[in-house]
Amino acid sequence: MKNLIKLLVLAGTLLSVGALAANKTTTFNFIYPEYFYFTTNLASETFDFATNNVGSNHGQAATVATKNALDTCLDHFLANNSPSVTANDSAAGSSTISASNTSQCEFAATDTSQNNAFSVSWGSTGETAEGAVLVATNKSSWAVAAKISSDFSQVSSYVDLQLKTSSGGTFTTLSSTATNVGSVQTGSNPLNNAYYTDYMNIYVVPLQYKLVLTNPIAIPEISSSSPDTATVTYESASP
Amino acid sequence: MGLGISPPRYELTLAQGQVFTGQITVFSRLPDDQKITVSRVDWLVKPDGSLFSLPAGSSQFSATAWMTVNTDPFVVREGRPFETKFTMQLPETAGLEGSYWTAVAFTTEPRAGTEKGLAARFRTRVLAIVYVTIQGTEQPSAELQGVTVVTDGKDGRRYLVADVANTGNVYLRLNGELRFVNTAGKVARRVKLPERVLLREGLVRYRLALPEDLPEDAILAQIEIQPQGPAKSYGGPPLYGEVSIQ
Repeated sequence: MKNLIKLLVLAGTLLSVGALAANKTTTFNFIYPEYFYFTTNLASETFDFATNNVGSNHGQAATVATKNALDTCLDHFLANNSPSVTANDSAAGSSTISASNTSQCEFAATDTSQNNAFSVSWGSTGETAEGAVLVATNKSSWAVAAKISSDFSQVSSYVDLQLKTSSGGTFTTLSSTATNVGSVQTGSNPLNNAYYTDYMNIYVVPLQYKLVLTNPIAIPEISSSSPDTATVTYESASP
Repeated sequence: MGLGISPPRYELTLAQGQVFTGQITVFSRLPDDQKITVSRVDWLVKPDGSLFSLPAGSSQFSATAWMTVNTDPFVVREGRPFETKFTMQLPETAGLEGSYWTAVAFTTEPRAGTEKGLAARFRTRVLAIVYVTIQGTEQPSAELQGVTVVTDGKDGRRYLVADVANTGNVYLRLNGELRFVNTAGKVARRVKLPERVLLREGLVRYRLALPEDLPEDAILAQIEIQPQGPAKSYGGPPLYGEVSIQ
C-alpha cells in the first residue's frame, strides 16, 4: 500500500512488548487503561564540515556535509553567482563579500546518533529515513510538533535546519514556532496515507533532516572541537 | 528519549470554587535514567491539527493560573514510573463561562553525542492535557463552512476541503464520515474521519485526499460531522455538507 509505513524492527524500548510479533492487531500492551507514549530514536544529527571521513549518506539531501562538500559549495556559489565584492569603508581595516542573491547549499548529516533501536522504512520509494518519532496511544487523537527551542548560537543567521516527514514531501524550515510533524490518522484510510503502522495504536513518522546554508560566504568558521548546537523539541499530546 | 503519561488528558466539568485533584503517572520504557522537568504551559491547536505550546497564561482561555503542580524535576526509567498530582481550583470570578484549558508539560533532556561542527540535538515533551468547563454555562455550537474540492498544484491530487468553526463557548470533539454517492444516488464508498478537537473560537480544516480508486460513477461527496462537547453537551444535529466531484 502506497506510503504505508511499516514498522520493521522493534527492539530496544519495544522489546518488552512481547505480544507484538504474535498478533499485529494486539495493543501495545501497556498496563495503563489510558496511555500516551511518545519517543524518538534520533538523539542528535551532526553536520560536520571539518572532516571528510564519513560513513553512509544519512538522508537524501544534496550531499553529505564534509569539508570537501562545503568547499565545492563555495566554489560553485562564487563561480555561478558573481557576487559583488565591495570594500567596507565604514569599518576600517575590514572588508566584506556581499552575496547579492539567495543562493544556498544543502547538506545531509555526516553522523546520526540514535538511542532507541527501532527503525522504519519509507517503503519502496528508495528514500531513507534517518530516524523517527513513535506514538503509542489508545486515545483517538494525537499530535506531534517540532520547534527549535535553542538555536545555533554562532550561525543561526546563516543556516536553516529543515525537516521532512513524508516520502516525496518537502523540507520545512524549523523555527521557534511549532511545525507540524504528524497528527492522528485512521486505519487503512486512503484519505490520509501516513502515520499509521500495521500495529494497533502505534503510529510512526519517519524523519529526515538537512542543513541549508542560506549565506554560504558569510558563515563563520566553526571550531571542530567546540560544536555549535541547536536543540529541537518535539511536543506531543493527545488533545 | 521518550516518556509516557497516564491518563493523557483530564476533561473536567466543575462549579466555580470547586477543587479537583488529579494524578498523572509518568513512565518510561527505556532502561536508562531520564531526568524529567515539569512545567505548566498553555497550548493551542492549529486548523491543520498540529499542536503547539505557549507560555503559561498567554492564551485567551488559559486555565493555567488555576492549576498547581509540583515542578521539581524527577527521574524515570523502565519499571520506575513517577506519580505526580495536580490541583485545579476554579476561582469564584464573575463572568467565567464555557471551557478553558491548560497542560502539564514533561520534558526530557537532550543528550549530547559526539558532535563536531554544527549539530542538532533532540528532546521530547509530552503534555498532559487538562480541560475544565464551568458547570452550567456550556453553550456548544459549531458551523460547517465552505465545502470545496481543490486540486493540489504539486501532486495533482484532488482534495475535499471543509472548515468547521466553533461558534459556542466549549471545546468540541469532531467525528464523522465522508461518503461518495454515485449516479444512482447510492453510497459507493464510506470513509471514517479521524477525530479532531475543535477549541473554543477555533477552526478545524479538513483536507481530505479523494481516493484514487473511486468508482467512475461517483459524482458527489458528502461530509457529515458529529460534534460532541464536554459531558456530551452537544445536542444538535450533525453538520452536513456536500460538493460535486465531477
